[in-house]
Order: sequence, then C-alpha cells, then structure tokens
Amino acid sequence: MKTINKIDNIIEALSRHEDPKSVSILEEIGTNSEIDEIREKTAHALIKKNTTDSLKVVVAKSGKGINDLSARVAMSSINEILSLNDKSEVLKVLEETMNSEEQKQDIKDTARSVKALITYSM
Amino acid sequence: MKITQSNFTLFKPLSKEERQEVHSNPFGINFKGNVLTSDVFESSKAKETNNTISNPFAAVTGKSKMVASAVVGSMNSFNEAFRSRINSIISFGRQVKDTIANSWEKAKNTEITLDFKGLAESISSKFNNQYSVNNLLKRPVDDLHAMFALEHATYKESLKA
Repeated sequence: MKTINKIDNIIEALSRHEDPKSVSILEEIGTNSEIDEIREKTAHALIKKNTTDSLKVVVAKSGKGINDLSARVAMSSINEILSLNDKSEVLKVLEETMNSEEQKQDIKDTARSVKALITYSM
Repeated sequence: MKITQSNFTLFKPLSKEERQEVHSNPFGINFKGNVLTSDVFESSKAKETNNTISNPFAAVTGKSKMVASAVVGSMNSFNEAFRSRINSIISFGRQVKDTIANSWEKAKNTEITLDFKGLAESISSKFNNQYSVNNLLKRPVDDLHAMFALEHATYKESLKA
C-alpha cells in the first residue's frame, strides 16, 4: 500500500473515531503539515466530523481550513462546508467566530463570507 | 476358363515367424493352411435351397464363381500393401496407448497440493491489512497518532527525494 493511501486511511479513521482526542491529532499533524494535500485532506476530515471542536479548527483558527494561506485548501474547505447535509453546527461556529472579540478581523471577515455563501446556497 | 491351383497357393496362411513380423492380423482372417478352391464361395446351404427358394444370391452361376475366384487372387498383392498399412496403424495405436499409459502413470504419481495457509495469508494481507479503515478504527487514537506521524514523515521524505 502506498504511503499516501495509508495516510488517507488514517485521516479517514480519525474523522470517524469517537474519541475527542482524534480532533487534536488531526490538528496537530494534519493541519500543521507543510504539504497542501495533507492539510486539505485533514480539513475535509474535520468538517465531515461536524462537531463543535472540529469545526472550530477549520473556521476560527488562523492558517487552517477556510483561513489557509493556500487558496486551493481554503476553497476546498469552503466547498466541503457547503456540501454538509446538516449545517446547523457550522452556522453556530461561524456566528461565534464573527461575534468574538478576540478574533482577528480577517478571520471574522472570512467567517462572514462563508456564512453568506451558506445562506445564499440554502 | 479355369484358375490353376497355383494361384491359390498365395492364400496360404503366414508362418508363425511371418505372423510375428506383422504383429497381428487385425481382422482375424486366417485360412489355417487350407487351400481355397473355386467352390469356396458356394454355400452348401445355398446349394440345398437353390431349387426350392427363389434367392437371387443362390442363383450364382459357375462362371461368376470363376470371376470371383480371380478377383480373390488379384487381391493378394493388395493384401500385402494393406497389411503393411495396417501394421503402421497398429504401431501408431500402440504408441498412442503407451503414451496415454505413461501419462496416466505420471498423473497417478503426481501429487497435487494446495497451500491453503499461504493462500489465506495472501488474501488476508490484501483485504485485512492493518491500514484498512475498519482495522484502524479498532485501534486506540494514540496508535493512530503514532502511525499518522510516522507515515506523514515518510511521505514528506519521499517528496523531497
């Protein structure tokens, strides 16, 4: 089995794992990876997990998920959010991020844009 | 018109040595040393019934018997050629039989075994490897953490190379 396929399966397993530690593992190794491909796959896994903690990583953290410096990773994360069946949790996280006093303005702006996209697409 | 007796001496059966040379007579034709006479084709039964039953075969004339005898005489040379061909066919048949017999013996002595253990391992390695998602889900997240770190480092190195 190729290494990239092994990584795919590990990320997939972590996205389905019930243990809350799986989010921190994905964040620590996946979203901090130097490789765009790994960051993209990890962001998808965190969005698919669709929990408050996993969505906070891709929505409210600088340089991760929708805030990634790579346009490809950021756009891919937004598409994954738009394709979620249940968007209630992500809307809640986006709202919190937009209204947070501690967040940077660019992160708030991105959250606002994504929320508008979701609203228009519904 | 009469056929001399010398013509019929050609029909003498083969000696024992000659028979061995030609292996066998496949049709079982053996005159057992008897000399064919011109009456050989005349059935005694037919003779008896000749006058009573209107059988077309029974109405063979003496002349036609002579012709038939002549034909038998001329067949002798044909017999030689025929016998040599039959012998080659018999030899071929024996060769085929020997080949089949040898193949059968070989097949009987050939041991066919199936390595079920190796086969099962091969299948399990393909479908039941430790990196399948189902197997990874059974592991604790700490294991997945270590595996993720290891594979990520390996992948990073492979991209550099």
